[in-house]
Amino acid sequence: MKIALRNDLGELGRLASELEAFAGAHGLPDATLMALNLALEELVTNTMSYGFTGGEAQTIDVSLTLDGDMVRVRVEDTGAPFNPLDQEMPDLDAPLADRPVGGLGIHLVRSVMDEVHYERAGDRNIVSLAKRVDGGATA
Amino acid sequence: MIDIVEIRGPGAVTLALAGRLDGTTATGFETRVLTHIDAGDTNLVLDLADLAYISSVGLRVFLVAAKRLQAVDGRLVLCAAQPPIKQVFDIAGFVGMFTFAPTREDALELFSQESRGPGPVA
Repeated sequence: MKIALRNDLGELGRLASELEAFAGAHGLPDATLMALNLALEELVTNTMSYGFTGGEAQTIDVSLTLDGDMVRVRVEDTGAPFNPLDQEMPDLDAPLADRPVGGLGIHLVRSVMDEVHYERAGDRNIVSLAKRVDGGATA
Repeated sequence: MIDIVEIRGPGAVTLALAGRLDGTTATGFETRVLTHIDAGDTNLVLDLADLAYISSVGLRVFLVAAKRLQAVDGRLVLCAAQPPIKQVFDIAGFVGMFTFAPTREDALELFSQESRGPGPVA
């Protein structure tokens, strides 16, 4: 399945619908669908927030394939070089008053996916993910 | 898409969430919760029984609400979260920061104990 998302947060609804269709077509469990949706929302939102500096229309290309018991996902964009994985791990033990209200997204991606990889190829950022269908979250 | 139903009393205001807390709905939910807190509804129950999805922007609203309530000596109790939702709270390290009750009745019971005040000194 291929989904081309415009650089617009309103596209998150369409992403969710497309993922539901993919999960339905392949009989994926709800937990897998939720993990895929969560990881993709975090990555796509990051790219929309930080990856595109100009105001021109840009797209984020998402593709999903089922490879045996692994769902493989690629997220590609032509924004400025941006490695979303290159972020500090949030302090998960900090008390409420010291918690920053952010920085969790990439931690969630790493936790719910089995594989996460970034590369810059030409003018494209490429994030590759894999999620084992029967395994739970790897956290 | 998220629906928020408000139930007043006993002892707290309950907001029952149904739907998804994602990048398209979190801001509206945040506005709604903070409006309640600023209007003096500082005993708050958030019923998550029909919450089907949450991402980091949704989690962020719970953190913002908890901080705002802490500043005014309020109290927030979350209840009836489905296992996949609870798991996201867990991964985020949020479980220890919030009070989770199994049902809405259990959540409200926590406030009724509070309103009876401290018991006799043993």
